[in-house]
Amino acid sequence: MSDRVARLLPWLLVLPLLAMPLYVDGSWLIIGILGMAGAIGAIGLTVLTGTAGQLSLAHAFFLAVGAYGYAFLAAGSEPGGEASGLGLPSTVAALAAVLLAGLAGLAFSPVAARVKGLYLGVASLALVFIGEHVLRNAAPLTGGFNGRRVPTLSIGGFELTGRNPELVVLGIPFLERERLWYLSVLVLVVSIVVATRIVRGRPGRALRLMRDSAAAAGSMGVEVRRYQASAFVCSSMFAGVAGVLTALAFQYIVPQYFTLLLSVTFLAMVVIGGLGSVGGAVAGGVFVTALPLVLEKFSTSLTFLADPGTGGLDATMLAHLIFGASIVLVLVVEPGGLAALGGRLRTLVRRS
Amino acid sequence: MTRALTVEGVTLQFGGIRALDDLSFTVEPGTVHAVIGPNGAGKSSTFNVISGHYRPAAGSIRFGDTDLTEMAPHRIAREGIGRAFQNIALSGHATVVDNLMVARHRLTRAGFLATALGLPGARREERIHRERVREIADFVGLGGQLNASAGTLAYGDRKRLEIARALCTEPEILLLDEPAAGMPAFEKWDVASLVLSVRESLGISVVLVEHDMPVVMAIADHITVLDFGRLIAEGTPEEVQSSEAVIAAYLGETAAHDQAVTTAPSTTPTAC
Repeated sequence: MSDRVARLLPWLLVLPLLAMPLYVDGSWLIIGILGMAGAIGAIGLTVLTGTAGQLSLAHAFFLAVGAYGYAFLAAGSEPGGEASGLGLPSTVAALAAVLLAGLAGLAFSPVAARVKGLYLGVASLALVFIGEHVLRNAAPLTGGFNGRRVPTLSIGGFELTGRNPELVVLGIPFLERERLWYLSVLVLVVSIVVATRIVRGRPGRALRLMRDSAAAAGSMGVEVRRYQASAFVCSSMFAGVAGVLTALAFQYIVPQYFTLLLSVTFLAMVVIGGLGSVGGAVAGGVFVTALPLVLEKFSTSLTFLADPGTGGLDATMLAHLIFGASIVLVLVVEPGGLAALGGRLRTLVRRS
Repeated sequence: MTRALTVEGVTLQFGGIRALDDLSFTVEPGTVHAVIGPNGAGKSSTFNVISGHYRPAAGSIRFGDTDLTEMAPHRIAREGIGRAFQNIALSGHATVVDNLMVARHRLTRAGFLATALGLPGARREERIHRERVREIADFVGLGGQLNASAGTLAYGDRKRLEIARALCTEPEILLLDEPAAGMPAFEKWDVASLVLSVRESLGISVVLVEHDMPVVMAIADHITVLDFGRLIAEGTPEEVQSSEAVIAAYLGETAAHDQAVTTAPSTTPTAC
């Protein structure tokens, strides 16, 4: 009984999430939306790096494929618009963008299937640089250095990320951010369920044994190379979902966002969260994405924080220092990260 | 019922070193077949060639009518050749039941998509195979520890889990690499009787690499003795014990001359 309660407990967190738009304003919601997008991306990386033991620094690249893929597929060719588009229905475009990220992963899978661990990390580095180059120079597709606008997502005329038609719930007007918030919660929940099933099920078990002993995995009938490639494709699709959500949240995407720094940030998320844990990836993803934004929001009251660009200690810098400290703390004190802390909490609940 | 495993003229080369030199032997169906020899004789190499982790420079390995020589390890596993590893190769953080379930890989189908969507077929498959895995865990005596994580088990139990995992692939023939290594006497004999009951109750042939001579002599039907990658003797335990070449390999040339045939080498090789 209490075992069941302890297992269901995390899902109770969804309830306050659903009520959130009724209580907080848009500036908080956008932090949450970006946090959830980060969490989904981190889930993808933890499946690859934690469960399959394959390092990837190309996560930012696959986010970019998702983000730009959506923008390109959904945008109509507006007169005067710099970047072109295919003008697909936006929901189709969103799904296609995720598949596109998966295809990009598949295209890289001959490498992903043959190179192990740290070496894959180095090989995947190439994708980030190729990505950055393409984003800056393929202006008809990406809008070049200045980026491109992201079309709103709508189903049958109802804008999921816009403000038409008007919608008022309990006296609160549901605008872009309120609507995107609910979409993000939905996508996050689906991502968690999907990833948890994969990690606990037949593919996850095969990936873990592959990580611990490739020879043993082979002798159990696991086709090691194919599974290494599949893990990579799976991870890039999660990154694609995160990319689409990020694009919808920003409404305007620029190449400067999808750099190596973003890939490294995702690594920080999964390490702080606890490698291989879906719940940990969510916690790490939200924490790492939201912290700099929250600090920035409070920078006026946190008097020791300097304004960005003045050379002093600004919010982003402070957040990076905190990430660095957290990673060291996790590696030294609790290698299982936030997930292991959560596990202890659950044990406490079960005992009481 | 089960097929014979035939190793024929296998040579394995690592640069200038010949790990296996024109090695031939046959594992008859339903037998416990031991491969013994001093350290570095090529016992584990033999296993690695059979299970596809090494590819021989010459020769062939056949299982019944199927040629295994060029197959990848996962294809060989699918042919019904199960393998337990000498240096325990389990997922330490995963539970006993998960470690066993991974061995059902070749018998199950659910891929990424079916698992992610929780399709009815994938769920049913999971349930059925969990049931069978539980039976096998009971069979080797791990039934009470299904949810313990593998890394926390005692050494002897981890060795047993290795064997159980190989059994969970539902093999026709089981390769056991030193299943009793590093165990105290009473546990060794537990493993020995486990190996016998694998053959008796499951009808699986067993190929056994083992250093513990009393155990080998007690349970093997047939023994192949290797030294420097070459076959130096084979036969029943009695035949092998009285072979001069075997005594020479284990104890040196002079010992072979000095020792009376009645002195079984079984008392000495445990030390090496």
